[in-house]
Amino acid sequence: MSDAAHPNRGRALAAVLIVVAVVCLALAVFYFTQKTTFLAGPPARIQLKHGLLFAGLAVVSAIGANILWRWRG
Amino acid sequence: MAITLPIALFFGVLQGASELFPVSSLGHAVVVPPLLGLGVRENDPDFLPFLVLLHIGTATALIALYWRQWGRIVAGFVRSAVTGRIRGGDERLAWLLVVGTIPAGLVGFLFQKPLQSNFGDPRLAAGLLIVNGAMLLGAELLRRRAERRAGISQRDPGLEARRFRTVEEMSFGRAALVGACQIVALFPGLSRSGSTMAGGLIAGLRHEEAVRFSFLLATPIILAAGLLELPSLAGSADLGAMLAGGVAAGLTAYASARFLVRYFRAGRLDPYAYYCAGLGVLGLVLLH
Repeated sequence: MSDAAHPNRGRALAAVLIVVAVVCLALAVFYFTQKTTFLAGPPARIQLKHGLLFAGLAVVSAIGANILWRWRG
Repeated sequence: MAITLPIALFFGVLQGASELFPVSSLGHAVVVPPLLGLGVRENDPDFLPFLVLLHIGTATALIALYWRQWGRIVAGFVRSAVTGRIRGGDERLAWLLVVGTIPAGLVGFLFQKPLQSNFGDPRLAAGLLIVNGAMLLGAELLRRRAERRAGISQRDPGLEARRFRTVEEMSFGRAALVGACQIVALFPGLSRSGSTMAGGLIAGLRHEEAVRFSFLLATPIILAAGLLELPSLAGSADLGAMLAGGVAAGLTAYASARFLVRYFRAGRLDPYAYYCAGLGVLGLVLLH
């Protein structure tokens, strides 16, 4: 992962990914529990596909953050 | 709109052949039927389940072509997730694919409805086919310039292998950029495989490695798009014909991929550029 060759850079990217994971998790919970048209279009309903997408992104971001946190170049 | 068996087989072969060649399958599906006088419209809601099966057929063919590699990639992803480290080439490739898939996956998913509104405009697709041709030609010309600078005057696989990278040697930033090239393919007429092959060449991959990365990148996004729309198949009256179309798409995609992998050891993008430009001009002239 030459992009994060410096440990501090790896940790900074990990911190960003943790924030992304939290935001995605919040969006997943929102889409699983609220009837909405936000980024999905009408009609207002529980958006399962959007929930699944953001839940998947939250998991991937968390795993990526874990890898970058331990990265030593 | 009824999907008859001949229509299903026609679209299956068209999709399977054009999805992996850098010529835009969506552009072909929008431009070719009106050119042939077929009364089929891509933006018809009844057509969506059929498209789902065609894409699942294509993704299945790609998994069949690279099944050993996909096994190692999935194992590498799980291993890196469990250990929190990226060690081998398979683990690195798994994360290159994750990074490359996210940009287009996100844009395609969130802007699906406005993008679908373009599917009913054959003249737009014809115009974008010409743009696709220009994109392929531009990428090939940039690559030839890079080869000249590297002292490779003629196509020499040995020299190219030493000068240019494999997929596993690519940086994550470049993988994200190549993956982001797939976003242009959300417009009918611009090719997903063409944009990623062009992006891969510009990112410094060898020709055959650019093709491999393009095919590997295609699989998760095509499969996910298909599986997410799978519920729309429920209650379809023409399921038998649609399944036949999906099988035709899979078989044609497999044959196309085998040909392309072999061709690109010595091949170029420019023949496809001229083909796209020609079809685009034909479409603009004949479609009103």
